[in-house]
Amino acid sequence: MIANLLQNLLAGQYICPVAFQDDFDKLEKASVRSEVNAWLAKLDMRLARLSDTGAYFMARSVIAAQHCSAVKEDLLKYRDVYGPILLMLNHIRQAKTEGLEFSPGERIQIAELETGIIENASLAAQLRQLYGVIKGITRDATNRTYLKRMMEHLREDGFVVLSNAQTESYQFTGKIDHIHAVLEFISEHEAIVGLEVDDQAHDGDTGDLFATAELSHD
Amino acid sequence: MTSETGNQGSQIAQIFASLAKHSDLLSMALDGPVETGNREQNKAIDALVMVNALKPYEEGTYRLNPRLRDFISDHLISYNAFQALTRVKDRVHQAQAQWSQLQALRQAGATADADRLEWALDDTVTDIDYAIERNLTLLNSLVSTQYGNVTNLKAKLNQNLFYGREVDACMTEMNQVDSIVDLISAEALNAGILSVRQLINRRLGSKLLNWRVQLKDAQAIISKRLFWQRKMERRLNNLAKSVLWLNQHKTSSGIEIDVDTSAPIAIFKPVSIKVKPHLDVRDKDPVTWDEMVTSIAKLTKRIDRSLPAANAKAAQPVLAAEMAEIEIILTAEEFMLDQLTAELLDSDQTISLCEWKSDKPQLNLISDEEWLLYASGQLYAQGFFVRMAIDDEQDPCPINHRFYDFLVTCKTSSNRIS
Repeated sequence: MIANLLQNLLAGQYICPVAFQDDFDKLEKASVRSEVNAWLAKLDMRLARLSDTGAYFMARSVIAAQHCSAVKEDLLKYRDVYGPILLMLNHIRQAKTEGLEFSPGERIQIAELETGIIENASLAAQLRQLYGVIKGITRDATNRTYLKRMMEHLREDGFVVLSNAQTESYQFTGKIDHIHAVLEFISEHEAIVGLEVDDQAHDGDTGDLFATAELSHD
Repeated sequence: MTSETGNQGSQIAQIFASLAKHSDLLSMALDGPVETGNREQNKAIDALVMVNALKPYEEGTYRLNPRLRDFISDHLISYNAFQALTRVKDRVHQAQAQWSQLQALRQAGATADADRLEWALDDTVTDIDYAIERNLTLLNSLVSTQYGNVTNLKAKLNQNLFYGREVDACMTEMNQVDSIVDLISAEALNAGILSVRQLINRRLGSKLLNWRVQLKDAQAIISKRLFWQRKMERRLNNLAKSVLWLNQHKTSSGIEIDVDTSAPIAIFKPVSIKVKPHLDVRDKDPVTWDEMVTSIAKLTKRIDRSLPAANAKAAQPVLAAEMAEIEIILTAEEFMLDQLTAELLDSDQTISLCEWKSDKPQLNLISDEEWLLYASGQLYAQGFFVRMAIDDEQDPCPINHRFYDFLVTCKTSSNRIS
């Protein structure tokens, strides 16, 4: 009954309701979670979650120094490991006119992105700069082809699934929370500091200590 | 008094009759201002203005009375964006003032005025009840529809912030209502004005708990959304800052951060363990057997090396030609060795190589030692029995054997030189 679920966990997948609906529903039951944890414990692994409501994944029972070194190594190669995904997500953020939260389940349509590019000429130029970042793209491809290949790149890396082929609509998967977790970790260690920080309270600010960074290039 | 009441009743009936008669125009006014037009419309506008259902807005333009609009909105549960909740603190102060005055009138014996004031207090308490119920209905409708009165996400988020503050103000007013209920209830009991006590407890006191629960639920949802909103803003902020860093530090490949075991598990990529099942060749199950046969069929065919090659080359003929005989020229030692070999084969006697050499002038050119070493080795190789003639057999420590001759016989029973 949970064979497929265990295989997906062993394969290193993030089990979320978008990409693995059935497996996620099973893991929502405490009995199944207990059974999976007991099975994984024999491999010195455990069931972990990206957040309280986030995707499930298989993690090591005990994090050792070499595992920390692997993460540190990834951060040292930040541009190669995370750079391509961040650049593509940032382009989507700028092209989509309606506010996007980059949360699991959110939908994006290629047509929406294309509209954003048509309305903003600088976005088209920024899209072309993703040549070399997006897999399988030629320099003289059209904007639409760039966008399609970009979404396919994200799909192949597991960040989106194709929810409707006819409308070319994609949905973010739970794996996106891993990127947010890494960026939050970097932010907490103040490794990346914004250009300008707006310290003034805005209308509607109830006194929370969060500072909203205003970025000149936006 | 009865005639006044009767007149008032007929006036009110006329007002509602006028509203009913011009209901179409009132429906239009609900969506926006109405303008003067044809004679019939102008007549209707005049009638509604007379009963204060429509109010002048601009030259030739009239709007629906806000109180009427509120009444209809409450009925339809349809509210404008950022519509503030009704403040009740003024009504609470009014109720307190009315109560104080009521007490004074009762003590002074002014029964008629006290009765009227009690009726006014009833009205005020009912107003407070209605205002709080309306606030809760408004909050519930907006929160449950996720601020469906606007479509823009930014507007929704801003409304969430707005109503977060409104709910905080409502909670403060709820405390004021609670205080006034306790105060009036206690004082009414002491003063013996039980009707007021019953009024205040039934209309406000008994509902306070439920109101607080509903308000707290709305507050929780709004707070949760506010937290989510902050979280989303932070996420987008992090994304934008990261990309900015990438663009501005093109020569930097990464970031150096110490990662220890206390780092959140979410930043560690999931482990992947490859699992590859193999066929159990001992399994006799038909399904497994078929699968095995299928797998074997996919293997490349064995090359049968037993068959001859298709295009084997024909054997190359060898051309033989007459060759000139090579005359073998033997040296003196080789010639004499052949003679010695013939003599050994003809007789069974043991021949001393030195003695045999001594009367052979053909071997005078080589020394005895050379003859012994050469002949002994050659004869031994041919299978003759070769024996050293050792001089010092009595040597107590025979490490090196000193010999002076070899004795050769035709017997080949031993292959050792002894």
